[in-house]
Amino acid sequence: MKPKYSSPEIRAGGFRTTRWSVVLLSARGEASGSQAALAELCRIYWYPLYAFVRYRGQSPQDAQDLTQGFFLHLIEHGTLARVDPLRGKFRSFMIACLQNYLSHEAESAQRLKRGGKVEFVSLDLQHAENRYRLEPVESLTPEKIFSARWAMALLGAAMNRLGSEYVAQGKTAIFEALKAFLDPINRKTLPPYEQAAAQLDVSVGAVKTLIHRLRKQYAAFVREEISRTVSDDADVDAEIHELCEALIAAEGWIMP
Amino acid sequence: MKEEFKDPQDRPGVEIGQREFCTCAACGTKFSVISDSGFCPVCVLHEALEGDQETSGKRDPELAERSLIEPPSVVRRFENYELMLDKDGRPIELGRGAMGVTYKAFDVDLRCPVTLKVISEKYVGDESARLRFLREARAAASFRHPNVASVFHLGRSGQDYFYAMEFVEGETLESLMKRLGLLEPKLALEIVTQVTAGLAAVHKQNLVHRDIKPSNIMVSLEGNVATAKIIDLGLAKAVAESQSETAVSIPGSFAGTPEFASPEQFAGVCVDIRSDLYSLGATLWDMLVGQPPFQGTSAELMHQHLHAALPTTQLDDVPQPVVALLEVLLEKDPAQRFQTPADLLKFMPTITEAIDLGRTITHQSLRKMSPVDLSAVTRRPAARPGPEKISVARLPVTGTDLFGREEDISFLDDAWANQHVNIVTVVAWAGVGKSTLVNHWLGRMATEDYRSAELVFGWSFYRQGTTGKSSSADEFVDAALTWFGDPDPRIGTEWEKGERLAKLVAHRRTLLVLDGLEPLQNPPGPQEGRVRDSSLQALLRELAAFNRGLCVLQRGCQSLILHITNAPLFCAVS
Repeated sequence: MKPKYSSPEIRAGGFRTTRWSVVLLSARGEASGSQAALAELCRIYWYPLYAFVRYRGQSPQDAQDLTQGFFLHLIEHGTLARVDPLRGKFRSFMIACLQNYLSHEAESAQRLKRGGKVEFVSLDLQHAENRYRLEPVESLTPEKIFSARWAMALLGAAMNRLGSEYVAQGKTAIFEALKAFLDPINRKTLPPYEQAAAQLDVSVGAVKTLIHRLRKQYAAFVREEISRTVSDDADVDAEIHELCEALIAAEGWIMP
Repeated sequence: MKEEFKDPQDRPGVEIGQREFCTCAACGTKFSVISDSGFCPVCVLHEALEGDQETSGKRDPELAERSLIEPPSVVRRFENYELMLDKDGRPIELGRGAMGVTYKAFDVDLRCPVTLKVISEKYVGDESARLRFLREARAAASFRHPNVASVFHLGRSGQDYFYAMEFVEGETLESLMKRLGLLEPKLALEIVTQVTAGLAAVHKQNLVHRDIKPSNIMVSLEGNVATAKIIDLGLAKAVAESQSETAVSIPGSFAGTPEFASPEQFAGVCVDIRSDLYSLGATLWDMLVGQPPFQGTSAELMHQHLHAALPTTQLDDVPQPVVALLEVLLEKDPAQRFQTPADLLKFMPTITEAIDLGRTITHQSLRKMSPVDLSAVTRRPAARPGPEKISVARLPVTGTDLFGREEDISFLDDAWANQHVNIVTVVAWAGVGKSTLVNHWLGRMATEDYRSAELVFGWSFYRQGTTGKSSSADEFVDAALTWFGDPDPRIGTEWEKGERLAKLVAHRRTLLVLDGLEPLQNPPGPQEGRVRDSSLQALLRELAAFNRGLCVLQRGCQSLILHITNAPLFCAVS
């Protein structure tokens, strides 16, 4: 599987360990690294924000414009500098900012094209719209839906990173052959271990060990991704629980 | 599962589409399967929890591999409930008791987690176990209370009986105590208050839980707010059970957990709600001290609960009002405790207030708050709104002091000690205190002779004004037959049943007390005083002839004619 967002910077791990609070602190000093780190965080979580705007009744085109505009607003209007990074989670911060932004924009009689020719984040907009059209979650609060989508985005980012790591270590074949085994429970059409062993030319016992490592690594990346969005390591578990709650409430209407 | 959806709000640009859903067998989350992964996002997130990370890190690689080798378990389904699986594909077991196994399950219709109790495989086909299981489910389902986990469905799937109850979030009090160590008195009292409220509901249904302890109390803490619920009514028992339900109790067997059981539970006699209050006292002790009041082997625990003074030196750091409360809850004599959970509930605010104000609470003030329930002590069946069903093994342990009756007590003692004495009648005018005398004597026997394996206490109630062919004595005989192990109490004439019961009783030194026989005697006339119930006639005749035990008859002053001529007969007239 080709990782969508792999880049030399990401593989080097320079941004991976950057907490959003650190990003914001740096943003005050306009350090270039922090901008890039924020850009990466925003890229991962762009879709939940887009979907939230769509949920508010905006057309696909307007939603794309508003989401882009929101990111620019974050950078250009000094929003980041006013945030106390030691409090709260990146998720809560983003949804609150977006809500404020949308309210403000709704009041504006004439909406201008946001972003101009500046493309802050490169995204597959058509793909996002396709996903959104398949997610009619109406009985939930928009915030819950947002959190569920956020969780899926986060898991996607961790999966991409897992793939990137394996690719970087020259283990693409292993990842491709074994990624189906990542979920221990809901494997639907799980290939036999023998098949994977033959594919990788190793013993069945070795395949099991490799799967075990892959699972552990994936869980570790998920945790690390979450830790980047909270101010304190102690908050990671609480964030996991909140995301789970949102996913359960979403009852499967959130696209993987 | 393919589900079709249509956007309810009919948003522009949204089309009707088709997608595939999957319900996670481990956590019950419904999730969408678009990609080929089919991952449950919630389970993946759970694996990233700190505890899980540590566990997986320390996990035995062999075990980890084995879990991979095992094929995914087939999800067992009980009607609309699916057992949830852990990450190794095994059902998530919440508990395992004598009767059944409790699982975390998922209601696929209502889409919520439930607790499912399934009768153990070894009991499948065992009729008495089935009855016991049904009794348990019915007892738990007979009421709803926020502090008791509700049972809402009883079903059968193939050969398996199961019932579904509310899934309670949080952790057991036992686990909370392990996590937090000693609990603050205020938190402990809050938990006790809520459990007491639950027990009040149990009591209202004429039930006894019989196994109140930290592992049977679920607690969820949100900030400073605690919510406590009683779970597992597996040992709950109706105070007055129907005949068929009584049949599934095991006479003489101990039910409960020794560290938290009441003296009367150890005595092997029937208990009432005051027993649960004792267990709650032991639980409160555990919360504040870190261990229940008594430690040791089962035999040592039994002796201590029955006879030893409370180790109050352990309570040096506990506020005095709580110490006073503990002392009353843990009174050996049920009559000296709070008589009902409602009484205790009334008293709880006084305790917390006294702690806040630094006041002390005396036992006298506690006594004022908990007037001894005289009706519960004297147990005059005729004066009570009679239980509808007969109950055997029901011994009122009164513990009340009796004055000036030493001679009568001594007489009964001698009769019990004398192997040749088979029947004693206690004859006196109404109101003299026949029942009180015998109750007191039985109470003493219960505490002093509980070790005797051959000692089975019996107490019968009969329905007043019984009409029709079946008398309450028939019910008593049927229940007693079952109690003593008769293969089928329904077989035979009344007379034959009486004979069979007498023979069963004769196998052991048995004390059988028949109180309030008057309604079962013939009215004045030629047959005056004769027991008109044929099964009782047979029972008494056989007892007099063969029994190695003692039958105590209590009745008014009219003479009682037994169909016996050569049996020793003792009368104690007070």
